[in-house]
Amino acid sequence: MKSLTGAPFFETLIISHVEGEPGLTRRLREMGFHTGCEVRVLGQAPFNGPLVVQLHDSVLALRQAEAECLLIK
Amino acid sequence: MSVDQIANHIALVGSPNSGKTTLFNWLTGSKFKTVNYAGSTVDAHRGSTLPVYGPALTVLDTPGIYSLQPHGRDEEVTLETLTATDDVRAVILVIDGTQLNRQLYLVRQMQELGLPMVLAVTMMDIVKESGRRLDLEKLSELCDAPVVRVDGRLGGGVIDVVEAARSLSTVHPGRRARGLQWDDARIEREISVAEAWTKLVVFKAPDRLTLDHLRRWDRILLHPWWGILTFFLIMGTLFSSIFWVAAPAMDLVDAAFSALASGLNSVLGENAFSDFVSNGVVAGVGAVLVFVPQIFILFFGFTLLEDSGYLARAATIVDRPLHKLGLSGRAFVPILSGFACAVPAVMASRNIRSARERWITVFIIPFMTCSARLPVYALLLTFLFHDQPAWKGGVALTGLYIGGLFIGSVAAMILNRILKKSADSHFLMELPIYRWPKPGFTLHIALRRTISYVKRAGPTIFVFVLILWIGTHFPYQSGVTPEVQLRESVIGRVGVAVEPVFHPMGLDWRAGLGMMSAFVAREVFVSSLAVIFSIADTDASLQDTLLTRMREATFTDGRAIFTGASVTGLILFFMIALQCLSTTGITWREMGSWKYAVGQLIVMNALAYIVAVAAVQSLRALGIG
Repeated sequence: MKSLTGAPFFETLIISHVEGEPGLTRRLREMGFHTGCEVRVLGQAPFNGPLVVQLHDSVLALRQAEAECLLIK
Repeated sequence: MSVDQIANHIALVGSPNSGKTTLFNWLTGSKFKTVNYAGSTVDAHRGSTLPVYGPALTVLDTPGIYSLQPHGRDEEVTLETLTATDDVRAVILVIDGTQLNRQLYLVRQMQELGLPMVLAVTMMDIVKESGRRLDLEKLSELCDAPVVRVDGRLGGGVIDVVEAARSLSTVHPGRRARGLQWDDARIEREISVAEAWTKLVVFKAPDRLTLDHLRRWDRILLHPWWGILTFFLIMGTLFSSIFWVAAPAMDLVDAAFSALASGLNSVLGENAFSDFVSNGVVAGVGAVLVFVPQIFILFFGFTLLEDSGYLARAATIVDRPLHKLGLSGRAFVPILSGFACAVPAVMASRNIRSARERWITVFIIPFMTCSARLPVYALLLTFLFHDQPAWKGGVALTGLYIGGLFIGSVAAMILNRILKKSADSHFLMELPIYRWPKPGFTLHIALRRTISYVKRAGPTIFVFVLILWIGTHFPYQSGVTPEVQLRESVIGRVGVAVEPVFHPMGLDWRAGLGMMSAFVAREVFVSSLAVIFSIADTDASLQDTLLTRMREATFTDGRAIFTGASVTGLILFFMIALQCLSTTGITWREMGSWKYAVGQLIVMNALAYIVAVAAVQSLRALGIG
C-alpha cells in the first residue's frame, strides 16, 4: 500500500488507513485525516520541505514522516 | 453559598484561526488587560464585556485547540481553564463556518465535557462568497445549543452571543467531566458523526465547490524557488523598515527629550533636584524611549504577517532548515518574536508540541537580537562609524543580527547532539486562507503591544535610574569635580572594586557599572551611561553629548577607554550575553526549572565574556585601538 509521500500532485486520493505512532495518528485524525476521506497534495514547501495537502476546505502542511502515516488507495 | 459568590466566567474556546481572538476584541473592546504577542494566544486572558452589551461579564480567551485531549502546553492551558475550577459557567465555542466538519468534532468533545455552550459561527462572508449556505437552525438542533452568526469584521451578532452566554451562565451548573479519554475507535466514530452532521448543515452550490482561489498566492509564496525569494524579501523589508522608516520618528523623540531636559534645567536652576530631573529621569528614560518607534514597526509588521495568514507559510518554509537543527517550523514564531523581545517569545514557545524542541528553542531565543539590544547597538555603532557613510553602520547592524542568529543556530546544533533523541518531533500546521489585513485593526493591535512593552520596561528603567542617580550622588560632597563625586560615591566604590573583571575587556569601572546595570535590562546600559556621564548639561542632542563624553573618557593614565577595540568587544558581549532578569524569570517559570534558567544565564554570559575578551586582546595585538 502506498502512502501520501510520493503521491502525484493535484490528484484526488482517498485515505485507506491511518497508521503509525499513537500520539501522531490521534492528532492526524483530530485534524480530519481519517479512513475514507479525500485529500489532494498541492505541492511541497521550499527546501524540500513539508507537503502541502488539501483536506476538504482546509490546507495543511505536514512533514514526510507524517505523510507516511497516511496510506492511500 | 449563594450564586452571587461563585465566579461567573464565560470562556471563549475554538481552534486556531477560527476568529476567536477577533471576537474577544469585539466583546471586550479596549478593556482587556493583557495583550498577546505574535503567534497566538498562549495564556488564558481575561477581560470584561463592554457596557453596550449590558451588565459586564468576565470573558476568558483561551489558546486555540483542535482537541480537548491536549498535545501541547497551550492546549493543556485551555483544558485546565475549563475544568480545573467551577468558575467557567458557560462556553462560547467559536466555529469557522468554512471548516465545519473539523469544528464539529470539537463540538462533540465539548458536549461530552458537559459545559453549557453557545456556538458562534464566524467566516460567514467567505462561506457565502464560496457559494455555500449553512442551515444554522439545523446545526442548533443537532448540537442542542444556541447558534449565532458572527461577523468578525463588522461586529454583527456579538450582542446575541453575549445574551445567549448570559442566559446559559445562570443555569445551575451540572456535572462536568475533568477531561476526555477517547480511544482511536471512538475518535473515528465521532469523526463520522461530525461528517454526517456537516452533510446535513452545509449546502454547496454546484458550480463553486472550493476555496482554492483564497489560497492562490501559495503558488508563488510556497513555490520551491519563488517561495524562498519572497520569504527573504518579506523578512528583509520588515527588518530594513525597522531602521529606515523609524529613523525620522526616533530623531523627533530624541529632540523632544533633549529640549525637555535643557528646558527643565533652566527653569529649575542649578541644584541637586534639577540635576536629578534632567540628568536622571529625563535623560535616562528618554535614552530608551527613543527606540519605541522601532519597536512599534516591528510589532506592526508581525501583526500584518499574522493577520494576512503569511506567518503559517513562513513557518512551513523554514521547517526543513530548522529540522536540521533539531527544531521544527513551530519554533519559527517564537524565534521571530525573539527579535522583538525574549519574554513573549519564551511564552510563544508553548505552541511547540515536542518537549525537546521546546527545550532547545527556549535556550536559543535570547541569542536573537531583541529590541532592547538596539539602543546599545545604535549607540556603540554610531561611536564606531562616526563621520563615516551611513551604510557602514547599517551593514554592521545587519551583521550583528546575522551573528546572533548564527550563534543561536550553532548552540541549537550542539544541544541537538547532546540531548537524548526523542520521537515526538512533528510538524502539522494548518495554512489559513489569505485575508487582507484591516489597517485600523492592525494598527490598534500593534499600538497596544507597543504600549504594553513600554509599560513593562518603563517602571524598571525609572526605578533603576533613580537608584543609580542617588547611588552616584551619595555621600554628596560640595565643591568637588563630577569625576571625584562619582568615584567616591557608594556606587562608584563598588565599580572601582570590581574593575579588574572589566579590565581584560579594555573597560574602566564606569563602563563596568553600565554593563552591570544592563543585567536589569540591556537598554539600561544606555541610560546608565547617560546618568554616569551627566549628559543633560548641554543643549546639544542627548546622543551627541553622550558620544562626545565617551570619546573624552580616559583611564587615570590618560589612555582613552572607548576605543575601536573595547567598543567592538562591548558589542560582541551584548550580542551574546543574556542580560535580562525578565527573561531569566519567565524562563524559570515556563520551563519549571531554576536549574535550566540559571544554567542558561551562566553559559551565555561566560561565552559572551570569553568572546569579548578574546576580541579585544586580539584587536590590540593587531595594533587596532
